[in-house]
Amino acid sequence: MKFKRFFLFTLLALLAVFLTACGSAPASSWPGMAADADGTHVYLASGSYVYNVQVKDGSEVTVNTPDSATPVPARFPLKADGGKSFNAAPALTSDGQILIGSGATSDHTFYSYDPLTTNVKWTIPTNNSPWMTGALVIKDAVYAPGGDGNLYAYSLTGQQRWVSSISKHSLWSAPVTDAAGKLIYLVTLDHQVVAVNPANGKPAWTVTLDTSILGSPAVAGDMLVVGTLSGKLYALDQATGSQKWVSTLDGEIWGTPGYDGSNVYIGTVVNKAGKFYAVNASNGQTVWSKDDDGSITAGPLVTNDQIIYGTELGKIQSVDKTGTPKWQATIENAHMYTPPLLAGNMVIVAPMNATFLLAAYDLNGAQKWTFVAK
Amino acid sequence: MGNIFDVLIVNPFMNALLLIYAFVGNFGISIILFTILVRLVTHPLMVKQIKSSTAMQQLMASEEWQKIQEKNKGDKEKLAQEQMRIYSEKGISPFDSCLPTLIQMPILIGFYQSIIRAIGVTPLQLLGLVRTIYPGLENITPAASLSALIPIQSQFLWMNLGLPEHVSVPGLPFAIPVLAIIVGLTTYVQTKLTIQPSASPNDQSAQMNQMMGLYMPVLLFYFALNFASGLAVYFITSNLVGIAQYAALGKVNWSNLFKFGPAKPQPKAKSGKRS
Repeated sequence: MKFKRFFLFTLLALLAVFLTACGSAPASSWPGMAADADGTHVYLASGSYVYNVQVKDGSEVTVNTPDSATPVPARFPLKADGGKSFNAAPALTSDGQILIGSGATSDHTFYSYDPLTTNVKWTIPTNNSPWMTGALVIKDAVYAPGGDGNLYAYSLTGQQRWVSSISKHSLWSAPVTDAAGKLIYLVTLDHQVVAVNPANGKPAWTVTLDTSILGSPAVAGDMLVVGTLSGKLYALDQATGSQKWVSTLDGEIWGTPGYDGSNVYIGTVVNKAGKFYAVNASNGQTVWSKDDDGSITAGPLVTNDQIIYGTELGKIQSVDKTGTPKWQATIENAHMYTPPLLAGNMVIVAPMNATFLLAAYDLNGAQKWTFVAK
Repeated sequence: MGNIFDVLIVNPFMNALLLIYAFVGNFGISIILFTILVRLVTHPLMVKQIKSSTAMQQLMASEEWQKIQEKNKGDKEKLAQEQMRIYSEKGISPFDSCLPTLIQMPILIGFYQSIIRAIGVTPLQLLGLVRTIYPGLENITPAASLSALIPIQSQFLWMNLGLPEHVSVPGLPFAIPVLAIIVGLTTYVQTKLTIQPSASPNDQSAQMNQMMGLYMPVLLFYFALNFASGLAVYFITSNLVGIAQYAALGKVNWSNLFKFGPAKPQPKAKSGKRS
């Protein structure tokens, strides 16, 4: 009988462990980050917090609170409550707000907070779905793509302007706009590219592509360049959505393409390996391509003279515009799913599964600092 | 170890689930159909488990068993020896009722994981999903191609199968977890209906059965409350099919449903207890 009782408890305990080990999904996503306009601070959304890190030395900004005699890290929220989870790239407004939605299953709130105090300024009420991606700020308005498939337009003081139904599925990619801010462009998991009028939320045009689109569109001159899960790279006219060219690449496209004025750069996922492409933006022809041992999910960072991308094997690769390697760095056991970011003259990366949350490299590939949350 | 489990159990289950989804076009119905299929495939194991349990119950209700309990009350070693002798004589193994459960456990866990992975509610999960879809799946039906499968239509009735389910009622300050409540209720009903009466309401087996009747509904209610509602759909279907299977075998103990103590002893057990 003792054996039976022991067996029963072991069985239930094992069941609980195995089932809970698979956990609540939305917490398990890669981090998002953004830098302020002058490149002095990086805001990293990773798990329970949004961190505020100084680009000059990788130290965390601190804030004085009534509860503590010494300054505490200026994280949002100041104390993790377990109910919030942040993984989207934060959006920054010209008046100093940080905007981000919680991707947790229990908290579905979109927050505006002051990075100097971490106090909440306003929120977008719960929409019963996690916020999976970052918002777009154009002048005095914020456009937040919801987990319920709606695009929410709010003023920078938190007044709702309109809500537009974009997809039956959760929106996973941040919206982008053209240079003049005439239209907002979104992509959906149900194969669509949608252009929306920022004034009223009405679609200007909708184009259906062959498969799901996971990366945001790249604005390339008067075109939008969008990659799909089938490996097709489409160039669409910004004003009408008409197709200018399509190029079929090897593997799946997960990220947002980069653009340097003449070429479009994008990596692909070829099962566990990857391939990186430079594609002529005027006709879609491949200019050069490079095989990689690790898959490339994130879009590249394009600077004046180099293109920098990360791989799933933890490698950060810099190449020049002809595809010749300039430098590379590898973070052991890490996965690079988040696009690298340029802040000032530093390349910032946010690896998953590393011993630190952020690392900064100069433009020659020398590591300058790492950020570990204490 | 995790990889072997994935390759042998989770990935085949996930692909089977996606194939059903490709045919029916509704992920909720796919979960229901696949649950029924898995329960049918594991039915022979369940039958074996019931038979072994019944044999054990009969043995424990027998006079011979009761006598050796009484006789060796103070000598545990001797009691164990006597019990083993009777097991041997009757050709019963106490492990026979555990083994089918042990075999079913990886199937249950694998099925749970396959549901969670197939829904793919984050980019990271979708990356894993895309990599584990068998390339040959689209040869069976074009609806099983990557472009047709992704995104999974996770809306079923009023719920998003990738998220925990709650129903907001106007005027109420909180949402009601309808599905989790149904999971708790069906688990309770299933446990009550399918627990076989014990030889003695005071023996450890009866106490364990009573604990099961309390723990399992609470445990599964908690899972359904916090995890993707696709899992709750699986729990409810599994519970209902389980009751139907026991009913088909004539093993449903309806008298237990509204009794809140240990399962009512069978007449034979009563006489055994008297000694």
